[in-house]
Amino acid sequence: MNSDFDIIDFINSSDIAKHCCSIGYSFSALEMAYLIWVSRKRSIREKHSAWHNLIDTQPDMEIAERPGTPYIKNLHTFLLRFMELENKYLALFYQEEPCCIYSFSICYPGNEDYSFDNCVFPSFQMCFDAINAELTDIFDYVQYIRVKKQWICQSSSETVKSMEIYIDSIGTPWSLGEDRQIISEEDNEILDAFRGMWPEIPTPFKRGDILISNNQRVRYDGPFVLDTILYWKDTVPESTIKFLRSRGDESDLEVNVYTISSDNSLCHDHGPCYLDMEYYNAPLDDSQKFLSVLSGYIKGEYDITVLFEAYDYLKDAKRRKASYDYLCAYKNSHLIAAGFGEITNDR
Amino acid sequence: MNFYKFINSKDIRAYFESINYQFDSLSAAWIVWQSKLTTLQEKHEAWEKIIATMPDCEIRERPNTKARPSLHNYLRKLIELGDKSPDDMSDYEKELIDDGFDGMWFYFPTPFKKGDILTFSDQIFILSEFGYENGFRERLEKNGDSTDMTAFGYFVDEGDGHIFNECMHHYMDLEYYCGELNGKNRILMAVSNYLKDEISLELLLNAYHIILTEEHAKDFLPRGFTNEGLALAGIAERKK
Repeated sequence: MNSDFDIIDFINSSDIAKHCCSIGYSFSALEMAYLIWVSRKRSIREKHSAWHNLIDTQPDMEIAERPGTPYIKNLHTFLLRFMELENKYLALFYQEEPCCIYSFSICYPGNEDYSFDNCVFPSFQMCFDAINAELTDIFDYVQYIRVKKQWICQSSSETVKSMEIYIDSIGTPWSLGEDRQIISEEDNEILDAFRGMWPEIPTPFKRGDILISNNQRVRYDGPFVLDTILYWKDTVPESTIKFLRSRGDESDLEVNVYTISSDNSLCHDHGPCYLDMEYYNAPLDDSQKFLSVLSGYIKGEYDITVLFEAYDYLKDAKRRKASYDYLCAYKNSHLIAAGFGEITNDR
Repeated sequence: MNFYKFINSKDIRAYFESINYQFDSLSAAWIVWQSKLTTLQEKHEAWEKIIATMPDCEIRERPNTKARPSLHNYLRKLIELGDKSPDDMSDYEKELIDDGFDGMWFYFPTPFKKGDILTFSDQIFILSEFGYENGFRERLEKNGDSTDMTAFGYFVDEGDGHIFNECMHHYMDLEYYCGELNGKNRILMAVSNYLKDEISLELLLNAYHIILTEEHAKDFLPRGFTNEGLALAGIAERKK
C-alpha cells in the first residue's frame, strides 16, 4: 500500500486507532474496505482513493452471502461498482431539475441536529450559499451538515422521492445520507452491503471502562460503563459469536452498557457501535459519579457493598436537588432561622 | 465409627452422609472436639474408638498448637482430664487444652455455594466465598487455626438496613436458612439471586433502594397514634 494511505487514519475512534497501531494489527482486505466505508473522518473522494489503493495492493476475495449482504464474488469488482453507484447518485443529487428543492440541517458538536426546514432552495449551490451564511461565525465548529434533495410530487398519488448527503463546511461530500428513497432497490442492495457485515476489530476497551460515543450522527448521550462487546469470548457464549460471524449485521456491533437514566436509575441497555467508542476523560457530573463506582466494582476494585451505598446516594441526590431548588426560593435569613443554615450553590 | 453425629450443622451432616465422607484420625478427633450437640462422655467414647481403630499420627506444630508425637497419647491425656474445670487444672493440664485443637485448621467440603442464604447463631447472611478460596488454602493448612475456618458474605445491618461484608469463623456450623425473609432482610433475597446470576445488577440495585426506602418509611411512622389518626394524616389506609 503506498505511503499516502494509512487505514488507521480512517478509524473513527482515536483510541481504537491507537490500539490497533500499538499492537501492530494486520487488517484483512475486507476489514479495510469496511473501515473506509464506515469512516466519518474522510470524504467520499478520499474513500474512493483509498478503495482504489486497496484494489491495487490487497488480494481479491469472495464474500459469502449473509442477511443484508448479497453474495460478492470479487471484493475488488464490488468496490468498483460501489464507487460507481456513489458517483452516479452524487451526480443526480447535484443535478438541477425544475421540480426539485434542497434543504439542510446542521449539527454542532454536543447538540441535536438542527433542521432549517422552512428554507428551501431550487439548487444545491443556493442551498450551500445559505449554509455558508448561517455558518459565518462558527465555521469551524460544525459536526456535520446534511443536505436533502426532494422531488416535488406531481400528483397526489405519487410517492415522495428524496435523498440526502452529508457535506462539510466547504461543501465536500462525505457520504450519502440515510434517506435514499430515490435510489433503486437493486442499487441499494449494493450501497447497503456493508451494513450486513460484522467486523471484529480489536479495541483497547475492557469491561467496566467509562466510555463515550463520538458519533454525532447516531446520538448516544453521556458517558456509560461498558459491559460487553458481542465478540468478547469471555462474556459472550461461543454459539452467539459463531452465529454473529455468519449472520450478524451493524445492529450487532452495538455494545451492552450501563447508564444513568434521567430519574437517576441504573439502566442496562444497548449502547453505541463499538467502533465509535472512546475513553471518557471529561469530569463526571454529580449523577454520573456513580459510574465511577460502578466501573470500580466491575473491575473488582470495590465490593458490592460500596456500590449499594453509592446507588443509595445517587437515588437520594435527585430528591436532595429538588429540596435544594425549593429552599432556594426562601430568603437566607428565613432558612437560617429554620435551622438550615445559609443555602449556597455547593450544597 | 460414625462421626457424623458430631457435626453441628444438620446440612453438612446430611451432605457428608450423602458423599460418605471419610475422616482421617486427626480430623475425626477435631470434629469430635468441636461438637456442640454431644456430651463429654460421648466425646470420650469417640476418642477411645479413634485410639482403638484408627492409625496414630503426630500432631504438627502450628502457631497455636504444640507439636506432639502421638495423637493417640494426646487423646488419652484429654480423656484422663475427665470433666475437670479449668480452675482445677494444673498449668500442664491447661496447656493440653490451650495448645490443642483450637490451633488447628481443616478443610472440609460443604454443600454450600456462592449466593446461598445461610444461617448460624440466629444470624442470616449470603455466602460469597470461603476463606480458603482464592489461593489461601495452602497457607491456612500450614498456619491457620480454627478461627480461620471462615466464610465471607453479606449481612444486613439491623439498624439502618445497609448491607455489609463480613466473615463468620466456623463454617462447619453453617446451615441453610429456610425461614422467610421479612423487613430489611428482603434485600438478602435480591443479593442471593444476583450472586447466583438469577437477576441483573440493574434489578439488584433498584431492589436495594426500593426495599431500603420502604423500610425507612416504616421506621419513620409516628408512634403512639391510632390507625384512624394515621389514616387521617394520609400515612395509613383507613379500615373499611
